[in-house]
Amino acid sequence: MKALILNFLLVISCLVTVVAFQNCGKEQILKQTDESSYGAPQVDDAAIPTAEVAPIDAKQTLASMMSLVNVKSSEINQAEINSENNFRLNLLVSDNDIRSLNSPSMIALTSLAGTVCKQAVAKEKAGAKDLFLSLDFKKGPGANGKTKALNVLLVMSDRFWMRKPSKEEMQIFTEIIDDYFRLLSAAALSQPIETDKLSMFLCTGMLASPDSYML
Amino acid sequence: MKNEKLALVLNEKVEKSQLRLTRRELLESGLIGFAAHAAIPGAVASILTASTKAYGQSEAAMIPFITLSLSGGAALHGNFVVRNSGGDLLGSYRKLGLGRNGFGITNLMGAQFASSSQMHRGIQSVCPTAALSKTKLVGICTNTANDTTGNAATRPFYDLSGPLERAGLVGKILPSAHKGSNLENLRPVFTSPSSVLSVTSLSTLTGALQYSSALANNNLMGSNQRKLLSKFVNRMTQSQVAKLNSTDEGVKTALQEAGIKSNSIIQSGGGTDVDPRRNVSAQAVYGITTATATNNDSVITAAVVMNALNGNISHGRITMGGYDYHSPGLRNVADTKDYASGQMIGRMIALAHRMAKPVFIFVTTDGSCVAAESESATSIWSSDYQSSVQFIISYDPSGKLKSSGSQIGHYSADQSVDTSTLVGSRPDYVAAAILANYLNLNNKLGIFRQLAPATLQADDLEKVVKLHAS
Repeated sequence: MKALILNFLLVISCLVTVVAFQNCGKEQILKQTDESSYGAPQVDDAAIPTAEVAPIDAKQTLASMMSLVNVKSSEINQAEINSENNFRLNLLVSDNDIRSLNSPSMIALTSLAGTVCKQAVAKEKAGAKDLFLSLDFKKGPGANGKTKALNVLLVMSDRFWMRKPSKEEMQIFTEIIDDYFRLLSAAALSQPIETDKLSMFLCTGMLASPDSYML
Repeated sequence: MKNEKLALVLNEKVEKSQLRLTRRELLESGLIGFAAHAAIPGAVASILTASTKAYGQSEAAMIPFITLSLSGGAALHGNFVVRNSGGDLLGSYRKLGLGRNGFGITNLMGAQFASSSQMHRGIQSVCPTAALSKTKLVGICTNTANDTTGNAATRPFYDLSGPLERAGLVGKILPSAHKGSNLENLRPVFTSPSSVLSVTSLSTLTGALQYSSALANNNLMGSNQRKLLSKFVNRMTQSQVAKLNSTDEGVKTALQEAGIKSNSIIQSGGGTDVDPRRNVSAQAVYGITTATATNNDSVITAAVVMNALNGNISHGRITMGGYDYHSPGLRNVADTKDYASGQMIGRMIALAHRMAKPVFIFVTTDGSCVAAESESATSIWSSDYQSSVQFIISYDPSGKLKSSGSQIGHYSADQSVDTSTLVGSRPDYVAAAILANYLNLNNKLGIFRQLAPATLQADDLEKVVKLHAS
C-alpha cells in the first residue's frame, strides 16, 4: 500500500512538474561587470508558472522558509526563530485559505522571514556559502558591488520560485538594490557588517514575496 | 522536481533535511502537507473557483460587532425580567433570584430589568441616558450547557467570528481580537474565523503592525532599511499577485490591497490609531491617559472596543471570568460581578455614542444559576442552572433603531426555559437568531442562509428578528 501511495505521489509530482516547471533549474548567475551596471540578464515572462495558489499555515510557513534557505535546527539558533514564530502564530494564515491573507499576516510573514534569513546569513558566514555565494562577507557592500547583490537575488529566484525572474521583477530588483545602496553612507559601504545586513535584506524580501510562500 | 530527487525524498534512509528542497517540492511530495491536513492543489481549486468568501465584503462598512462572554454562567434572569409565552410576567421568580412576583421593574433599552438588578445599575452608572435612549436590548431564552468541566463538549457554539467574516465584517488592519481568551468557553459556530489575536496587552495590537525580532527597531536594520524592505515586499507582491492564475479577481485585489496596506503601516511606523490612550473619547469613557500602562486592564478593554468601533479589527471579543458565582453563594458577590458586567456593557455603548458609531453587542454566558427558593430578591444563587438568557444589544447614533419585542423564546411557569421554542434548546439556532438580527440591521438578511445553513427557515426568521434599522 505504501509503495502504491509513493508511486502515485511520484507520478502526480512528475506531471505537475512537467506542466508547471519546465523552465526550472537553469541557474542564471550574472557575470559581474562593474558596480554601477547589472549586465543584461536573460529574462522570460513566459517562464512564470501559472499554477493556482495557496498560502500556507503557520507550521508550513516556517518549515518552508527554513527549507528554502537550507537551514536545519541543529545549525542555527532555533530558539530565536521559535520565539518569533510563536509571537506571529496567530497572525499567519491558519487554514490554507488564500483569502485569510491580510496586511498583518504579510507583516508577520516578512518578520518571520527576517528571523530565518538572519540564521541563514550566520550559517553561511561561518561555513560553506550557498545562497550568498557571490558575496564576500569580509568586505563591505561597496567592495562587493550591486551586481553581486543582484546575483544573490537571481540565485534566490531560482531556488525559491524555481524560475527566472520576469522583466518586471528584474526591474524591481535593480531599483531596490539601487535604493538600498543609496541608503548607505560612505563609511557603511566599506563595513563588512553591512554586507550581513544587505544579505539579510535581500533574503527577507525574496522569502516574503508571494511566489515563495504560495504554490 | 527531478525524478531522482523525489525518489531520494521518498527514500526513508535519506534524512529529509539533508536534501535542499523547495517549498514546491515539499508540497508536491506531500512532505509538508502534514501540518495543515490539506491537499493544497485541490483545496485551492475549490477556493478560487468559489464566488467569494466574504459575501458582503465589497459593500458598505458593517456595524461593529462585540461579543461579551461572561464565563461561568451568569444569572442574567436575575437581572432581565423574563416572561412567558404570552408576554406576561411569570407567577413567581423565586428560582430566578427575584422572589415573588411584584418586584419593581425598570425600563431600559426597550427591555425590562428588575429594579434590584445590579447589571442595569452598572450600565446606567457609566452610560449617558441619551445613549441608552438610542439602544435596544433583546433577551434570548435558551438552555445552555453549564460551565461544569464534564460539559465541555456541549458548551455553547456562540463564537460568531467565522460567519461575521463571511458576512463582510473584516478589520481594516487587523483580524478579530480577543481579550480574556484564557477564560474562554465558547466554540466557533458555522465556520471558524481566519485568525484571532489574543490580546493580553496593547502591545499585542501594536506589535502585530510592526516588524519584530531580527527586524525590530533596535536590531540589525535601521528605520530606512526596514521601510525599503517593506517597499520591496510590496512591489513583489503587486507584481506576482497580478500574474496569479486565479479565477477570482476579488482575491487578487484583496491580496494586492493587503500588500499596499501592510507597506503603508510599516512606512508610517506601525499602526498609529490603534492606541486608545491617544483617543479623547476612550480616555473619557475608560479613565485612561497617554501614560497608562499598555498592560492596564482598562487600556486592553478600551483597545478592543475602540478598534472594533473604528473598524480596525473585525470582531471584538471580551471574556470576563468569575461568573460561576453560585459558590460560595453570597449574593452580594454575584451582584458585584453583575454590576461589573453592566459597566462593561455601558462603556461599550458610551464609547460608541461618543464616537457616533453604531454597535451590536452580544452578551453570552454558559448556563446560569438557580436561586435558593425564597420570596426575597436577595436569595443566594445555590447551583448551576441550564435555563439561561443571552442578550443582543444594538446602539444606533441616528436614533432610528426599533425593536419589535424584547424577548425571543420564553420561560415557562416552572421558571425554566421552554425548550420547545425555536431557540429553546439548540445553540446553533440561537447563534442563527443572533446572526439574523445583525444581518437585518445591516440590510443583509438575504445572505443569511449562506452563513447559517440548515437552521432557521424564512418563516422562522420573522419570529426571531426583533431589531430593525428603522
